[in-house]
Amino acid sequence: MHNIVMPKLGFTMTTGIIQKWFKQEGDIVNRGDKLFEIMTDKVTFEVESFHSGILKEILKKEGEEVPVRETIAYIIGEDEV
Amino acid sequence: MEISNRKKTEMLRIMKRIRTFDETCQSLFVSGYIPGSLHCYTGEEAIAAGVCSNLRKDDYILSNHRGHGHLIAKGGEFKFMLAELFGKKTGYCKGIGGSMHLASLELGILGANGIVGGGICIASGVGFSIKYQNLDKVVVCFFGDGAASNGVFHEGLNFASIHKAPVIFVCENNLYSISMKQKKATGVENISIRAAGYDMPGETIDGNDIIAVYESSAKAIERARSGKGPTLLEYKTYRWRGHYAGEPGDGLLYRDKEEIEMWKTKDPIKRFQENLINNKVLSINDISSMEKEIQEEMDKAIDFGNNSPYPEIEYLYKNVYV
Repeated sequence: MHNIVMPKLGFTMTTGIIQKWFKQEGDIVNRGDKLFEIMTDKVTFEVESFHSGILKEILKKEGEEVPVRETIAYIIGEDEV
Repeated sequence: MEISNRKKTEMLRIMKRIRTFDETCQSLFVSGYIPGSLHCYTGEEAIAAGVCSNLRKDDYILSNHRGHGHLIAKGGEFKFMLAELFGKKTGYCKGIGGSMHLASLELGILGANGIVGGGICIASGVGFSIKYQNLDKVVVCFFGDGAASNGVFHEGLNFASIHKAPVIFVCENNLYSISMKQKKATGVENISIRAAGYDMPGETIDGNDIIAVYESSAKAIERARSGKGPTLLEYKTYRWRGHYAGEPGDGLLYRDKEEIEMWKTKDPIKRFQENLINNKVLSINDISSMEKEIQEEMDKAIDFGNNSPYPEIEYLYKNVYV
């Protein structure tokens, strides 16, 4: 199982707001797929998925502000289902 | 120029290793695993692979901020590079240098460098040192189009020229210095013509054609080794991504989508791979095996990085001379 975390895009970034989830719980995700979009005080950024599998659980919803490196979702391998 | 099939295969392998490493680092960075900044070499692989394939282990290179490609082509191992990026003490610089300060004296890598043009005068000095000690070595200095307009470019090339130092100055012109177009920032279209001001040969070459890179750099390296002095090589290329990992728009804010797509059709890896398959140097199975090996090396490096310890806090005081 893989933890999907709020990325740290710059030295001064402490939190990010989840603008949009491009995938829903239960969706198949491939490495490189757009997974979610975040907004910081400086930028809006689309985050690609590093892992392939199934988006098992979304912990933080659209609109929530999350500290960097905190887990916001889980992706499980198709063999783990 | 006659290039053996073994050499061609090795050059393809180096390019594919660079692509895998930097694309993986891009993903790892945005997933939050890599502290500090990093600058992907994706799209420019033929230059590092073509030039460094002419070098011996005890030749030197100076690199820049976009240096992972140079390091891998000069023999850098994934696991020690990635551990360094993770900030772990098993990295090439004990985890305290990061992407822009990767170095290995053993491999002749005198370092990536976060200062634009920072390697140019170092390279001239190293070249002078080689000549002074009568050693059979050369030094290659990699820098970009932006650095070519920095004052150190003038000083470094002039110095190397006076002393006929065995330096090969390699300008990777990817048409942008961060977001500034080269044609707006530079007084000339082809940076190589500046060589005339330093009494050295200068050439502009397609940097996405690995054979052209290999042949042109072989000539310059031979010239340096035989004591005839430095050369300025300009390779035209393009980076697929933004200037740095995490850049908003990843290169789209100041570049047209059409331009990016056009350059992607000139992918140096795809081009060379097709050439090797069509000329029966490698089969599709050989390529798959190669890719599998590289991915395994990458996966092992990620595990190594994750399982390595951070340096102890006392390490802050080591190697500090004040």
